[in-house]
Amino acid sequence: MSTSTQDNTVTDYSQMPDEHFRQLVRDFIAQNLPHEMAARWKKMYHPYKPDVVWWTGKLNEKGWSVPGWPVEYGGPGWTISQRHIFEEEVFLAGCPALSPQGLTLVGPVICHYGTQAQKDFHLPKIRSGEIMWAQGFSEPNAGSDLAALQCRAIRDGDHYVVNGQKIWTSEAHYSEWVFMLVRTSNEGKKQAGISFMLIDLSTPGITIRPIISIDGGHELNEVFFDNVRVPAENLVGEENMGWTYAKELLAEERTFSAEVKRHKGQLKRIKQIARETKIRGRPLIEDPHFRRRLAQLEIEVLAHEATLWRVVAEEEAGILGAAPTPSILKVRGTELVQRLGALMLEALEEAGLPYYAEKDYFLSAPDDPPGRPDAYGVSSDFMFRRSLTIYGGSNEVQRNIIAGTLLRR
Amino acid sequence: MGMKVLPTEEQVMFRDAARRWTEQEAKSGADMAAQWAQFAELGWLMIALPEDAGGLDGDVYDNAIIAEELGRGLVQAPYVGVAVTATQALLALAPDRLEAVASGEEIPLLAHVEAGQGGDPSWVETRAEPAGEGWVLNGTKTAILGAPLATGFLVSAKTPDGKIGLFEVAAGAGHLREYLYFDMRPAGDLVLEATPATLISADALAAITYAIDCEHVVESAEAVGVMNTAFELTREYLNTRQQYGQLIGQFQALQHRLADMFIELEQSRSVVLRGLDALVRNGPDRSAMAAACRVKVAQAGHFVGAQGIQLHGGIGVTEEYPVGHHFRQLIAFEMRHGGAGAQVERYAGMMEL
Repeated sequence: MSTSTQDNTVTDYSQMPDEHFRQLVRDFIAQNLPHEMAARWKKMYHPYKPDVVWWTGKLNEKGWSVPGWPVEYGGPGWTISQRHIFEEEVFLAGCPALSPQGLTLVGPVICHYGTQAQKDFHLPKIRSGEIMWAQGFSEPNAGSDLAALQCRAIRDGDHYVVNGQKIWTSEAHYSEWVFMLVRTSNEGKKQAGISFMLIDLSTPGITIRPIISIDGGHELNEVFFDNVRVPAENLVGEENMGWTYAKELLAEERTFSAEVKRHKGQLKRIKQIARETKIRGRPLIEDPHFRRRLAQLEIEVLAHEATLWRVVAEEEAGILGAAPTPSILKVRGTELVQRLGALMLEALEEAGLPYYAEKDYFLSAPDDPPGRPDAYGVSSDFMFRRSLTIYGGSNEVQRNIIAGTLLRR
Repeated sequence: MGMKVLPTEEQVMFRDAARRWTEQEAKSGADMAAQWAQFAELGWLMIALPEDAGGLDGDVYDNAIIAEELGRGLVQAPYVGVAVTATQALLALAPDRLEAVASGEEIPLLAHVEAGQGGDPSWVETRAEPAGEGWVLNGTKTAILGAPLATGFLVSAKTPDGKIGLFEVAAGAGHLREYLYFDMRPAGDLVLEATPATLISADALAAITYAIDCEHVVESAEAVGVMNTAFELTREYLNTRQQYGQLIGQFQALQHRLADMFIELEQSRSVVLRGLDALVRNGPDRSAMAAACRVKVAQAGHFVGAQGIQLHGGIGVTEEYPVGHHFRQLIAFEMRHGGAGAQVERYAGMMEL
């Protein structure tokens, strides 16, 4: 087995013990991640594009920017455990969070269903971070009921003409392309008339409007399409097969919504904050009532992480039972993020009250912050993470899915 | 992610055998003594013993697989107390005694818990004093599950030098106050008043703590079995009971409750695997993980059992219908070793800060 860290050297990871792999990732981060960037990312909650692009490029040089892709398209050939180890290490070290829309969502779809021309044009630019992607799925009247989407694409010669609206489009304001689910037919079941399409966001007729979320930040957008002419070669796979492709794409990532890495980061930060907060002169971390509540949540995280390990081991052994595993991981994972966020905010007491506008703080801290420096972003993150239990199929929909596998209909 | 998840072929065989035995046993009406002889015959009492102690060279994973199956059927014989807790204590302190345990000839139970211990194994008020060639003990041990079946007790007591020793007290030597837990499992308190005892080890706290950590995890596995049946009964009920002209499983409020029960059941299975992993690794986090395991399963069991009753409606609170029996045993599990609250506090004292 080659363990060379030289670029372009093919490394066989398949037999590498997990701890060895973890060390390899840590070494890479230590050698490549600038300190100021790590400091910035540990206190940020929305992505900062220049860092994302730079770090994606850095990982790409090493062959590590697309862990979920097939090896023939540049994937590193990691096991599922290794992918989880990588995710955890980069998150906890404060590496910029890679933008998932290109690297983990549309990339694998193009690998599987794209034409040769689509592969040749898009895959290298996704891998390197040169082109950033947004996901155009949700619409004002198609949220959890995604298949009700109405944004229309009508064939006109060698183009499609797209009209309609997408919403909750993360990162659209600084992305170059968007992948879309569009309605190409009203025949039959609503799922059967949907196509998967790639659209250059600089095409005339596209308007992007920011949606400011309750944390005061800007990550979400509305995207409007007014007679947008899209070359027909930008259709992925066959017309009216988009729903199937989208479903498969989500199944590929079935264990990656568990949020365990975020829980670990939150637990660490709660403990740091609780050491600094003094209640009548005594550190909060020494208060037995607070300690018990922290312990209770840490126990929940331990059990949840063990579920993730179980599922990963079962997946690697090729056992995919009828159990609605992704829904379990999503429900529990997102709800734990919110509960931990609430405890973190509580640990700050009044020091959690000041508003920290992200744009004023993320590149360098001001000389005179309104509150404790370790309070940065806690309330904003708490606010923004309300979205976790809503997106990706709300937790109520996930519970419907779980019950659906358990009950007769 | 090195945690062992998938059972070996051999473990699947044991599991299937234990499942069949439990299903048949539910109808047989055999008493605990007769069941015990069968445990010995099936090899379940020696499953975790090393080969040189006359065992099958397995470990606590194997115990957990059997315990879960016994839990499904609410088998009352104290399998975990003997084949795990007492066995692990003796393995560390007096392994020559284990052949008689494996054969079913001796049925020792650890008598360690005392009122006010709060789940902390180092809190022992029972006193041991040397007396002639041997020792005498004074104190009261409580909540000993399966006590009426025991042929002897392994009793912890503080010696004059302040250490915690382990002593053997023959059944009948102390005063055993027998009673039933509210889940109808036979139990007892052992009252020691200058009761003669034989010294097993003068410095036994580490071995006792390890044995109790094993008990936390394997009893949790048993509770997962108990919970599993409560869940399956409820699921089946939602799939058959009709109200307002439809299956009650078609009501979304009930569907979501069932989904939450399923999540809790799955989290419990996972945390048991993590607890077993911690026992086998025996690293510095072992006791914390064992406590975490007990807490998670106890709280999940309370929820699943209680909601199991709720979703059944009136039939759920009747003695005739089994879901309430499972709830009772889950609550009893939650209350042992100081209760889940005390174990959260123990974990809080051990967690990394």
